[in-house]
Amino acid sequence: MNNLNWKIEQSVRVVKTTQKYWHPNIGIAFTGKKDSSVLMHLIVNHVSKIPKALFIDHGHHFPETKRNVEKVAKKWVLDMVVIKNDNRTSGLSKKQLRKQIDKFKIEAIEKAIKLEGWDALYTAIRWDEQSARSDESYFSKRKNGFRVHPLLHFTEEDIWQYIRKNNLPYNPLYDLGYRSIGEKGFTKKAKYLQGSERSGRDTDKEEVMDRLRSLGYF
Amino acid sequence: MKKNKVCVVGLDGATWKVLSPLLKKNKLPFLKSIISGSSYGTLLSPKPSLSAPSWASFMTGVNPGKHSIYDFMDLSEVNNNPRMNNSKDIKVPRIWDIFGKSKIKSLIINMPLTYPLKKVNGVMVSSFLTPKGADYVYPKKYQKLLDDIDYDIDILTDKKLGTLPLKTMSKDVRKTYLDKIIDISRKRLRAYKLLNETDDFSFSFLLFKETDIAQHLFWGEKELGDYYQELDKILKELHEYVINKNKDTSFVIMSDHGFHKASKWEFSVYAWMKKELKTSVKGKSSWKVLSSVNKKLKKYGLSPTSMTMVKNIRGEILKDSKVIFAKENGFLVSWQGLFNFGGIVDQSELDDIAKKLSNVSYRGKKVFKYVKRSNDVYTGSYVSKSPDLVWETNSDFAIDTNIFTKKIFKKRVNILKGEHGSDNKGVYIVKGKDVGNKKEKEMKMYDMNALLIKMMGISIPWYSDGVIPDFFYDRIDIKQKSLVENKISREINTLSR
Repeated sequence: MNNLNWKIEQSVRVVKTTQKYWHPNIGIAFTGKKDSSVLMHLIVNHVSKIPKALFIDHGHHFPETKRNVEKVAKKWVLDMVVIKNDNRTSGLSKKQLRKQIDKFKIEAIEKAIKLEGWDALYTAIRWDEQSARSDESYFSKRKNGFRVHPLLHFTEEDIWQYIRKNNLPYNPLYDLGYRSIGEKGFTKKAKYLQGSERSGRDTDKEEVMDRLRSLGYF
Repeated sequence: MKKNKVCVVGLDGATWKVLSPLLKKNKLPFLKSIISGSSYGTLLSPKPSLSAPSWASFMTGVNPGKHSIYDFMDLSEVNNNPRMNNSKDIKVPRIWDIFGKSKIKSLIINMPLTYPLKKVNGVMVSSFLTPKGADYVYPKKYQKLLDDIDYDIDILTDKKLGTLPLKTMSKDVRKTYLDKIIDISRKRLRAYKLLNETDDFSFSFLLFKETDIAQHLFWGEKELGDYYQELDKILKELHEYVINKNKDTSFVIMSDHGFHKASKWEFSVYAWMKKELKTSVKGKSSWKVLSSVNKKLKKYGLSPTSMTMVKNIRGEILKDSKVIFAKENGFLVSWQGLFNFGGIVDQSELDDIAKKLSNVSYRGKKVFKYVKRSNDVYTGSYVSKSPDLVWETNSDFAIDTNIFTKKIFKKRVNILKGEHGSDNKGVYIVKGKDVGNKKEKEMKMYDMNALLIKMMGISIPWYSDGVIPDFFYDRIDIKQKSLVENKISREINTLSR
């Protein structure tokens, strides 16, 4: 067995265990970005009933991100739970806006879990993507249930190989030079052969990632 | 840690159409031996089936929409004047840049689009389209080694022959060309050996462009077999040399596109447009452009009439100041602001034109394999540089780009015997460490780039379009295997308590 197939096999172990313990009270966080497309495909192919997918519409997505979410939702006939941000953002400084988006994401996750009665929520985080995620567990107990991370051991290369081998739809911004996609106005194009995977992301957010995660962020 | 070693041999335009019959007749003993125990199959070039975009995709691992090379020739972004692409126009790092970051040394010989030479962790010899008298080896101190063997950058720069023949060749002329390309190929081998002795290279690449020349000149004729038999001996010597240096070196043979017999018929896009779209021609500006192209080619020591791309650079005003620009090798193009004609084809017309063109047939045969919008073929920041419509003709048809042609179809007068505009099926043969033994699988040019990066033991960059082929055994990290499997088991056990 080669490297990627072995990694997929391990992720499937995590998915099957999750289904065994928590079905049907499970959700999938779906961001419309590369990792969550891989997770969604993996789950779609290994469960009998696809869990509901959570999309947090904080109001600052790139249009391409939203279009990709719609495309994927249509392709896999997903039952979407969309939590929309109704807070006013006009007049906020960039820093205030950053804070508001981060706060909203945490609230949206809590709201969806409560609303849907989920005991476990799949997310597509990886160890190698951000230092704050490097110690994460596959089944992470939080105050409002479990976060399940089947792709923890995948690398950025694995994600792209999976997408290309399976011809998955993906956000076209990646082809335009965005290596990691965050909110519009807080994400820059990456430089080839330079920096880490999330080097195009807003540095303020990256610095407080540990704190955000302790509050319930992915 | 032991360094991985890979030697890649490019055979420009090599195709199984030529190799398979020669292999069956036991005319290529070395290739036959190397295929045994290798993974081999068809290597698909990106569209169009031309050397420039294909080699650029080989170097970068991305499609033309990302690396920006669609042909050897391009239009200036400043004033839309025709210009030659060069190494500076490739917008994505090359494979040797990636290797250089990992302290891997490369020896690259005769890769197109490497002039002007850039700094490389290793040694590089540029390819054709290097201006006469310019530096063609980096670092320059090694150029003397090649000057001393009278190294030819390309047959087109040969003082006597100069260009590909424009008339039917006599027996003597045929022999002169055959001898010359064999001689150039031998010198490539000598150059490889000489430069390889200057350092310890882990990755090396050597292109024989003569396969492309031989197929253009001698397609379907005895001389083509003669050339390949000589090449087989050269490859044998190269392989022995490489393996003697390091027995664990992986050996890769590949080509940038396929080839086919020169087309029988010419289809005039302009004549067709006149009839179907009621367009008119104002050709004066086209000749102005042609003259500008000729000047550019002369600068590179090339005879304008020797290059098919010259014929490509012809424009036409369509309807109300709308521009259609046809290129011979599978393109119908509208470029914004081309030649300052001040307009483009209305995008809404393109789907209709594509549909109509797709259905054009002659004597019961369709002219085009497909006609597509560029957005359906390419992805990336430079899709806007591409033609609006991209097509590939069936091999019976070539595109007549003369804007004054009145007949939609006419019989073609062929000087060259073979061509490649309608064949994107090149070849690959891969033998070495972690490579299985699988036959006749298709892979794309980007996949070859990804494969080579993995064969060198490093990670594929995030922007790559390449997929690691199934025949490559991508090893599992034993330490990680144990860590992940144990962690998942432990966590599952905790859940069950």
